[in-house]
Amino acid sequence: MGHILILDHARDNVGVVLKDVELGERITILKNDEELDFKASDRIPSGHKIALMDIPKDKPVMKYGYSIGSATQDIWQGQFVHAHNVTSMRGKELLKEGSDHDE
Amino acid sequence: MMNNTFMGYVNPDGSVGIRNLVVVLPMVICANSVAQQIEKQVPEVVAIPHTHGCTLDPTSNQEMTEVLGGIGSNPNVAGIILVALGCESVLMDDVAKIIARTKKPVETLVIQQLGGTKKTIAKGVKLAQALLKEAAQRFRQPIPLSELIVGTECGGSDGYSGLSANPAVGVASDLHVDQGGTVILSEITEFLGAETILADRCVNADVRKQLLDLVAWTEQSLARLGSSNVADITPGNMKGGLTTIEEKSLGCIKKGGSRMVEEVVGYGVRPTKRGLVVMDTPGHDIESMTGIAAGGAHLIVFTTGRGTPTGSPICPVIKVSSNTPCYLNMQDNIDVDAGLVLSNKESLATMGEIIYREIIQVASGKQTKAELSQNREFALRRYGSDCIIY
Repeated sequence: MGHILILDHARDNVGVVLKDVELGERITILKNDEELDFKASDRIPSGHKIALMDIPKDKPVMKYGYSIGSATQDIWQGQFVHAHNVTSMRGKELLKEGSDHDE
Repeated sequence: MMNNTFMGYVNPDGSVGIRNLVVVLPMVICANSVAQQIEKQVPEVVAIPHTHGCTLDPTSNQEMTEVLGGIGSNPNVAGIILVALGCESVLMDDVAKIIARTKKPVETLVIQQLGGTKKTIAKGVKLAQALLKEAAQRFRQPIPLSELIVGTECGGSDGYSGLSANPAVGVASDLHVDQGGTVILSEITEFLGAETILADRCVNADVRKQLLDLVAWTEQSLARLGSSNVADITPGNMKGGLTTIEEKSLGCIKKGGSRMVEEVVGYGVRPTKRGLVVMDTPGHDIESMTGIAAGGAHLIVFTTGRGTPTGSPICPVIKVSSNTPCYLNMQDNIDVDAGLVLSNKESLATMGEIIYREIIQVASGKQTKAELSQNREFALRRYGSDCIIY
């Protein structure tokens, strides 16, 4: 299998696909010395994200080693990860007095 | 590895420029046509039409005065003609005074005093020809790379931007900072979700506080206006694979490389420190580039995943694509393809060196694609509640 996925950081739970991935296409990647081997359960366009593991609702979606938002529903390994199942945690409501900037 | 000089122009005040431009700058939208018709008759000059310059609140008026002064003061400008209508709220004398500090020739035209457009254009054409003649006397000479101020910008980002083009530009930023040069990281909206990384790299507690306050102010302004998830990023960003502002930001800040943040400056304000500097600019690419140019940047490195043709009237803009299809699709517009990183044809380190070499060549006179296609977009940030959301 060719080079079809980028995993940027060991903490990430999503990867970026380097080509259009078809439903049922097999994905294998080494993550933290563990071989992940699963099938894409959605069609995923080039440059978009695929879940490398299950991400429960309200848990952070991790890319570049940091949270890029929160899962709005349970996301299963192999699913397409985008605005239909992730929401930003920023700019939504006035920051509370003294709320810290750290995750 | 590389020669640590480039070929530039020495200005009367000792600053150095990488272009030898004669600019016609209207003070107000009402003077745009005069400026543009001077350019039509003398195509070697650069007219910079814009939509503002009058009926602003005092704060905006002051900022716009200083930003227009900064544009005229940019070291790539050899001489300038200011064109006023005569009754606008941005005062030409104030702008001229700012530019005169650089000791470059500043000419002024007032349409109401000169008796209308035809007479003003006629006088402007003569002034333009004289300024061009004067500029033509200048020649390039070797200048240390440490004199160069490099702006960074991203526009039409996609899911690859943070994996290829932006980190490659970050490598080039580090190379330039290590030469003693200055790099400007901009677009505060695109710090949301990534500000802790930058805060931890601030040189001291004051700079750290300024940076976090700026991000908090921007976020609160967005929240006050009821920003939704969709409004945070553009439809093109989302089609390209970006989902949230956090994801966009974490990719965006990679353009700044890994060195310490030395200073935080306001929109269009010239950095006083060398090294990596953060400027308060909006996510609107053109408004952001205007701020960077007014802050004295010589050139701008601009990453894109979707592809964009935009340039600047006074700063050469080097386009770097995040993916090869974008480069192949818009070869008239993209200078460097960082998509080669994704296909493992180049390492990030090598791509960063390629970009830095391009920076040095462009500084020495190589024309960018945006210059060749005469992309000279220009817009001013309006400092007010109607324009803090992008």
